[in-house]
Amino acid sequence: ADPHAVLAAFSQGLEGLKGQFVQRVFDGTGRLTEDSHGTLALAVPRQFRWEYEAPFPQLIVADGSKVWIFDPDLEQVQVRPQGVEEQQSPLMVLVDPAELDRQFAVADGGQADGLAWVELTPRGDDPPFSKARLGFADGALARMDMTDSLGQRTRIAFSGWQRNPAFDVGTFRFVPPPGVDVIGEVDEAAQAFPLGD
Amino acid sequence: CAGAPRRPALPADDLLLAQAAREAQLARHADWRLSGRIAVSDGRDGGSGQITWIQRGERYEITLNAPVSRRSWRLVGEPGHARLEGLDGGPFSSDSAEALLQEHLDWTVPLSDLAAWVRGIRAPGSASIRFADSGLPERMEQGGWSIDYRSFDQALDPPMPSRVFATRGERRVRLQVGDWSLAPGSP
Repeated sequence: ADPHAVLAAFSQGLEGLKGQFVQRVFDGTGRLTEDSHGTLALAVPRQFRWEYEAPFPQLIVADGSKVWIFDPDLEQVQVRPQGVEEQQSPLMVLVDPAELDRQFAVADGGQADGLAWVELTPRGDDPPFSKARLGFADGALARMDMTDSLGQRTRIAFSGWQRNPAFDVGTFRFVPPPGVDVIGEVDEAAQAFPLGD
Repeated sequence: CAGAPRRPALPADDLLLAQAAREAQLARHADWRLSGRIAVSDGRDGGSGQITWIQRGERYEITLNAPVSRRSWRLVGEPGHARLEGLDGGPFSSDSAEALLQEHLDWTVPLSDLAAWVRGIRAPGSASIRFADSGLPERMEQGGWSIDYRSFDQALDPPMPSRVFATRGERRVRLQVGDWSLAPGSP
């Protein structure tokens, strides 16, 4: 199947997405080293919210200009300007299709596990992963697999997608709670491409 | 030189005896493995991620997966030789793992001492301990670091720390351990 058509079918008319995910990481020998799950929200063009529920709560919010990483049990918030790393994420191209061909070489990944696969190879130098594969079942993204520089395979399974949902007001905002350490570039100059709120 | 115990039931020297017994028991598990989360900071900057730490006697293999970017790195080595893989321009080698973390990640982590602290035991050298009601360490002071044991997984034998906050001035190393494996010769 034409990979661009498979991707376009999913991102057509997409303003936002919300769903559940299960994330598993396997080391080079195939041993499961991480098994976590939670909810994911994405909004055009570059806002996202990964809310891990287990085994440890963790919240990652990209509000369009900053990325916040909050580890409640470790009482630490990291914040940095949103930038290249987010653009290189395979998920973001689903809500920002214009970035697709700029960020990745797109190839047909064939059929496997009952899914139609699209293979994305990052164009940037020193990408965090060597290849990403997106698996689609009747037009909906069901799986994302990535292999990183250590040979670890991250496999994320998605379910319960809601297309263009009404997001709660604070979905893509984050305010550090009192009593936690906030580290990283907290109050740097305004972003080059701030999103109007 | 235990810190003055405030409320524990056992008198001071019994607490130290219990701790020494714990340390002897853990010394018999030369191979251990933990997985969980780590957060490191110097008050301004730092990082966090999913950590897997495999110790086989003197040899260690520490893998860290950062959130969002899935940027991952692995530190492999033994006393006197360390290798840091996965970072741009790597792998890097040095005779000190701490130097590699400092130079390539700007992380200050007292790794060899942390290998003891994370298991709730003292590293070699002088240390003071304050005990909780449970008789387990509540706070340890060693090498300029103070180590707070926020929680232990009491279902394990011996009980193992599940949240460890180490602080030295502005520097912080915080570990949350979700999974301990102490089986002798555990993989």
